[in-house]
Amino acid sequence: MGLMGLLNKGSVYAERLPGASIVMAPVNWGIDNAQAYSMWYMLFGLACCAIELMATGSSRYDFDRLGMFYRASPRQSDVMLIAGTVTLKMAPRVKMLYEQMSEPRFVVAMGGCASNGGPFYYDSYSVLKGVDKIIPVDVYIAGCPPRPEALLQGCLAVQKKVRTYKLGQPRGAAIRIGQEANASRLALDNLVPPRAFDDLQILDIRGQKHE
Amino acid sequence: MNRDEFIKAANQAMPDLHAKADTANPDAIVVNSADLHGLCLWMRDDPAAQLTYFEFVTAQDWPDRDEIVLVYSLYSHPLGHRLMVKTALPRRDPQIETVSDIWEGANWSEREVYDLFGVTFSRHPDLRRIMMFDGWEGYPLRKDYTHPNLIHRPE
Ligand code: SF4
Repeated sequence: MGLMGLLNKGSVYAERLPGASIVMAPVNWGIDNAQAYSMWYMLFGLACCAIELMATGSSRYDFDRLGMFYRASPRQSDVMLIAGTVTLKMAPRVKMLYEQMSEPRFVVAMGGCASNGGPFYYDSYSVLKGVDKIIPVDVYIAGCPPRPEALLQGCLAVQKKVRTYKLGQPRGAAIRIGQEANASRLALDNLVPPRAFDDLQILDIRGQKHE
Repeated sequence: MNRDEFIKAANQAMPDLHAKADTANPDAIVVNSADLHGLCLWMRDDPAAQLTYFEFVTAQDWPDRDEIVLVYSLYSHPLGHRLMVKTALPRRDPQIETVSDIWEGANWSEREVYDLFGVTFSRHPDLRRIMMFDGWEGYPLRKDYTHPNLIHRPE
């Protein structure tokens, strides 16, 4: 969202004034939290994972409590949830939509397909082997499809990134939400208050450990 | 009408048709590709056949026989019977007359077969790729198709 970008940029400039850090620390805290709790995502479903995305958005799991709700336009969105299979035909469109989003923007690759091609990694001529081939991905979520709990955990991971991200700074390494999160309801327990994510089990889509 | 009655009626109506029963499918008949359009027209309009509903056309690739076999599936809503029509085309430059002037619904089905198997339907009103994007090279459902994106599953 444009407003978020302005807020972010303003604080970067203000910090350069003498003594500003005393004032800016609480302001930044406020801005970071405001941003983290207003992640509007682009309504964008590509395949079966989108069904799980809809389930997560509905009242049982409820994106709204994270301040997330969907926008129909990339220009108003902060987060792009790639929910589903990205085909080679779709890839240029996905990239174009990503480019239309304004900074700060975050991308979640939901499910095996978006992460690395998933079930279509082998023997498929038409599926892009991971959306990270065309746009930078901040959070990967394993699963086919990931459970809503895993998706929520992924969104919390994005929140964590939003809090620490400063415009113009390099963004941190991608966070991977493993299959552990799918199997348990751990993610729900994590919802309030947000906890550290450093103890997350990091697994790739085939259940192997990442460094 | 069952299949054998069909073959009899069709061969009677069109003496040089030589429709045969298919060995693999109890619902299918086999005709020459040049006769297909005339047969389809007859099948739609004949009062005993009335195959007014075009279900789909699909294709099979047989590299060892050097053939692409088109399979048309037809259904009659008034009479409740079904028929499949098979016809073989040469694998190199397969061409056949469109049936989209007989059944409108054949239009996109034929585009799909064109897209994925490379069969050219002559007189088709709008023969473009439908699944793959324009500029895609090759016909993905042919057995010998390869693509740089295609990784075979290790044994
Ligand atoms: S990861 Fe599985 S559920 Fe998700 S889009 Fe791919 S095939 Fe569908």
